[in-house]
Amino acid sequence: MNIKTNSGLLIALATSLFFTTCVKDNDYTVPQNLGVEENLKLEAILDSIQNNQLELKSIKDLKNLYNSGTDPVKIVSNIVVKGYVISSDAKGNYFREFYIQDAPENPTAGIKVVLNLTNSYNKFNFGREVYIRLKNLYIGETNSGDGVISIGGKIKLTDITEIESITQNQIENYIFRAPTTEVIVPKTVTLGGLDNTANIGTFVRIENANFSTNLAGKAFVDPSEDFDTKRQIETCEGPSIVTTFLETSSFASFANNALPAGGGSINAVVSRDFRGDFTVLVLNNLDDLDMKNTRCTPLAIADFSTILLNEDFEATSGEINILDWTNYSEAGSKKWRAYDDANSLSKATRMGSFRSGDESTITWLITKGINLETTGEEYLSFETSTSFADGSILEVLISENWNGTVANITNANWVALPARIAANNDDFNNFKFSTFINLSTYSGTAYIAFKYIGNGNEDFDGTYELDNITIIAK
Amino acid sequence: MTKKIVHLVLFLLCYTTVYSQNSIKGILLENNSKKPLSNVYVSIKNTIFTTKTDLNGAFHIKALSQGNYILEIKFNGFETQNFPLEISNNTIDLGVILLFKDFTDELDLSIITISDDELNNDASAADNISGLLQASKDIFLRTAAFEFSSSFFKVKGLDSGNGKVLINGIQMNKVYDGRAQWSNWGGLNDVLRNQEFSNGLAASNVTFGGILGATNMNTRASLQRPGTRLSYSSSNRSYVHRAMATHTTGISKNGWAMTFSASRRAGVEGFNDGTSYNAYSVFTSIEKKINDHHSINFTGIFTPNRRGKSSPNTQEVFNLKGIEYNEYWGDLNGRKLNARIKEVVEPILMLNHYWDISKNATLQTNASYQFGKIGNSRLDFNGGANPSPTYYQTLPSYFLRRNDLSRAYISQENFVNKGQLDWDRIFDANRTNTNAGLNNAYVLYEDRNDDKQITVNTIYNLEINNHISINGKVEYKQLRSHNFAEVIDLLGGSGYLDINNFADSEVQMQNDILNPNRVVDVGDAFRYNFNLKSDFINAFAQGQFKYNKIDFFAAIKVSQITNQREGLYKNGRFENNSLGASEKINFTNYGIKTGATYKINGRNLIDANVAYVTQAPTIRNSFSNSRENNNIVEDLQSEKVFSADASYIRRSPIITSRVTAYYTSIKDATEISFYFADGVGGDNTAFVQEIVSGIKKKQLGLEFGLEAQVTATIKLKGAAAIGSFVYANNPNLYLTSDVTNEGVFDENGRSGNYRSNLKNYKIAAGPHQAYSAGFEYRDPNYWWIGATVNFFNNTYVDIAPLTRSRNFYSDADGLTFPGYDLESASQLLQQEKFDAYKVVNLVGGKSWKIDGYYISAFATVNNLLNTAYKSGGFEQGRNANYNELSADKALNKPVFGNKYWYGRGTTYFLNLNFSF
Repeated sequence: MNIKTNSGLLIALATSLFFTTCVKDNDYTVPQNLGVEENLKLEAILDSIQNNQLELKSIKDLKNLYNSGTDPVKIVSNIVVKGYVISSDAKGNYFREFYIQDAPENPTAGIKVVLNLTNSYNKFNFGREVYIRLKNLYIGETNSGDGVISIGGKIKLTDITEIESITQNQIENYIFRAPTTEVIVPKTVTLGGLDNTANIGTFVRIENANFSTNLAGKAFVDPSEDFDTKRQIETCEGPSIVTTFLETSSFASFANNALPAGGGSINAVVSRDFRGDFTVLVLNNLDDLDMKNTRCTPLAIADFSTILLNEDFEATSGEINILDWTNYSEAGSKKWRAYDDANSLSKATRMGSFRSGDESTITWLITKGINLETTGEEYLSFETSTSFADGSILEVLISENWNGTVANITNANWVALPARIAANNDDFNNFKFSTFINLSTYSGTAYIAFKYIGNGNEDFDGTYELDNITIIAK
Repeated sequence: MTKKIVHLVLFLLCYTTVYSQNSIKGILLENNSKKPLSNVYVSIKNTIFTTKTDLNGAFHIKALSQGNYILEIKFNGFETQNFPLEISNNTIDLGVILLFKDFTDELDLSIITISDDELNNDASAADNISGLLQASKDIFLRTAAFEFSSSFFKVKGLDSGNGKVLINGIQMNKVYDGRAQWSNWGGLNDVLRNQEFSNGLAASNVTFGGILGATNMNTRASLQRPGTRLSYSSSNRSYVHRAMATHTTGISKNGWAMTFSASRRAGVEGFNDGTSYNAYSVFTSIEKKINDHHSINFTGIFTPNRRGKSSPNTQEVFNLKGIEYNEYWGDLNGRKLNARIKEVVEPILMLNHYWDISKNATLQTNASYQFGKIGNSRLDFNGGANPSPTYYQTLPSYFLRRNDLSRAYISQENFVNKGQLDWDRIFDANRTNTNAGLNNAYVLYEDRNDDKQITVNTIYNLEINNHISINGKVEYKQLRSHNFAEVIDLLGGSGYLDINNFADSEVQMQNDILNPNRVVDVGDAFRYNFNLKSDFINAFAQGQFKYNKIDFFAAIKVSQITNQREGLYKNGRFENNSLGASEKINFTNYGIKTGATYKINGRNLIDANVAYVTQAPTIRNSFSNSRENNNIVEDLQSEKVFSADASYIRRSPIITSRVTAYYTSIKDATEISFYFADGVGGDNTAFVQEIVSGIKKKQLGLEFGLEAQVTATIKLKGAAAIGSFVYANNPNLYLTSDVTNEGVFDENGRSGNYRSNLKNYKIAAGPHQAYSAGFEYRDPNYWWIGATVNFFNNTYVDIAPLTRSRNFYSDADGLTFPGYDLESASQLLQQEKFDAYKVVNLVGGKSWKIDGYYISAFATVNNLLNTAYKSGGFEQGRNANYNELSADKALNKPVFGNKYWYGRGTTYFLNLNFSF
């Protein structure tokens, strides 16, 4: 090879090397600016909240803008809601939805977000703090009347009473992630108290639960079900068994796994089934089940021979006025009254503020003081029914420090008891059993209160009926 | 041309002397350097007389009988010279003959450019024949290679696998699918010019060949043109830049000859958006002439290359984004990054022994070893949403189907403004999962074929006498192919869970039960993992006979192949037949062919050939679902091919033309396709393998080519291909799937038997009709231009066989769908025929000679008028029944409409060449 050739080849080589730098077809460096734009948008929102250009609303207040079964509400004001993601579609048990609750621990409210995004778990991950700008979004239900209040992107074209997804194109302009992911601590509830509508959309823990005996060997999903399967779960509450349902999608990756045979805890999101008839628990993944222990057995009812309280209202008439009981109207004019129930053919008491003309209604029915010191284990039970409860709520509360005077009712410390209370969509003909509510953790002289709370608009308030309040003990 | 005649006359005047013996001799020198040219082929046309020049450039052909002959001097890279001679008991000494470097061979550059562009595409519609044809001087074939190939024209309507590509007598077509992998030697244009092409059924000295013929590329160093050659090209078709350097030493006094070549092709994107190009090529050929009888040549070829692929799209997508649109890329860190890259790194090592046993007999023994990898990258997402920007649920048609106009509008805006792969979202999903302690949502991986192939053969040529020669060949080929998926990058994640989310149970989700729920990292194999083994022996014999009035030949081949799969994973969906060795598939095949050329006179010839060949099914069409199990296609048959052609050839000083009529029938063909089917047995959806077997195809038509040298500088050219390529029967069809006991699938995931009513449907083989007319002007001052107008018609979409079976009208219970209407059904099943179109191409060049340096420039402009045309397409398998298809087609914009490839708009190719 002569010098000329060499130089020619060198030139060619040099040219080649020059081109080498052009094509970076396999550089998969993690983008440096990942999330930068998103954070800027979020900071702008937080600034706007600081400057009062945007109003930060709690999930609870947001849900109050809507009543189950009514037409969706379009949000027209500049409000933002903040929440923590508590569901995950990683295992396919949720489809184009996630739930947020108002706090990582001890939540007071939760709400569903429906969006046109599959595998949203890898964006809105479990525990992620999110902010949703609500202006031009909708609050409503995806199945009218199912009781699962949701945030959606528009009114369904085929049914104006329902909402549908926030589109992929909307997501980036409405839902914003904060950088933080919190540890979500499940709130321990009993199955008896699960139905409380405040639980819907929150992440809860049920302890000492097991699947019903007749489900032995069955899978999470019944092969004959096209979509969701409800499997009954049980816990033991004193002398009784309380049940509810675990609902699993047939698209869940664990759909065909066998149900655990043992007993233990379940962490799950509280929701309602498709028709809104039942409160159901929905799993994120199988790690949320820890059911390797023994199954529970109910206590023998015969051992509970001590009756600390038994009120069937047969001896009452007019406004309830039982010795040592309190019938107190904190707001409004209505009080608890006795009536003859046509279905049970017995007397009971009821409270309602529909068409009362009152701006607000809060009415208490408080039992006499119960001495919990002489017995080791006590269970409260009662029965309720409802007529158009709509926006009104009945709570059952206990206080150990109330002194029995009307003046001190609101000052005393009242704790909500987990009871099954009839709700709007329960059959109004039937009284609903509260389940046995364990009072063993309370001591001294305790008072049980039934507190009716209207929703501030008497047109949406209904009537609660109450009967057969008992406390058994041993 | 004129110059040549002057030389000829001069020589004839000076040196024609009468001797007692019939012989011809002469000395060949390079015009510029006046150096002797050795190893140049000198032959007497229409006879078997051939010789080569010695080290001094001299040749001598003896023992000729009396008569009129044409002496042809052919040397790669030089102008071919023809000398008409009359011999009657004399020796003609032609004295010194000067050979001129041929500038027209620059044309080949652009043809190889076409090959570079198209041949690496995986899609069948992009199956391109131009590389095979580039060595042909036939006007029709050149037109097919040059003008028709960008329309995916197929010669005689046949798949490119019917053309065999050989390097030094070793067939390079892949055992897996029968096609040549052109990127294995891409970018080495300069050193692969030495090609011999036999068209169609014509005889080749080195192989039986395919129905479309055979090209043998000869890399022997002593046959390369000595000198140095540098070139630079620029284009907007596939690569943007190409630089190439080649140096050939010529044969040295002690018998060494060497050739080296290297090139680089690169581009961020070609005509289609995001189609990156990144290729290197290195070549070396070293020959040692041991003595007058023995030479040994080593060839090494290494051409690692990476190319970004482009997507077929629905009309809806093309309308919104244009014909350059490619869904496979997205912006990452400010760069266009393509997720689907094909990488081919398959070095070839070859050793050839040339033995001139006697003057009339040669034995060439060849051994080759090829190894390396082919990787096709893509995204997998068992923890994430489908990242495709054209996923049907993101396009306006999806919302229009639901009558949701506002969302259709929003999705259209979004698709038009973004509409590319969202790498940031992919990384974000993986980062989010990593932070939450979860596995990857997405992963980038490649489907790998790591082949090791050994070929050994020996080729014997014997000239028994002036008229009869014999060729023979025996060959052994062994392929060991490792096929698996391998993680390329975790894209910000921590590990990818190797499961199939679509399966029902925990066990079925496993891709390898022996390693359940494995989390894989970069470089790990996953998804599937198996070996293919193939052993092939093959013998070929041929006799060629050349006489004054008639030439004829007959050839026969016999082969035996054994194919076997060996599963390395125990697949959860196929516990019993995925791990370990499959049954062996054995086929014995044979082929016979014969042909004759009758010379009415020197200017008019008639040529006819006929062949009957049986071909073992390719490995691709033998295992119905090789990634997951050992299942062999039921009742697997060899293809039986019958082919015949007849041509009339006219060669006059002004006009050269050929017209050919051909007929090919293929019986018992097998085709396997994979797709996601909606509406299989009622309203089920499944990922299926569709096995169609016993297919009969019929290809018949006419080829016509004409060249007219109307003046010394102007040449008119015309070509036409008029074909009819149809399915000729209603083949059997069955489906397999990893879905069991659902819809049409039994407990083994096999459907019942169907018959696909394909008869008289057209085969998707590019345009069935193609026409070209053009001119060339060659100025005596070494510049030239040309232009052609090409017209294409009768291009058809590739139809889905399943929709032509009873599955189309049957509900899950086997009864006909209620509301099934025969008339609208036949409308739905009509095969789409693409619009006819016209493409104008320009070409031009100039060369200079300065102080012994040759410089040439060359440019083409393709599709000057920027015509948008569909070059191919297929029906999506997603609407397998009447209800689904009629619902979809009733829409203005079907959601699962046909997918198309569009031809390129206006493109250019520019080449600068420097040689000395």
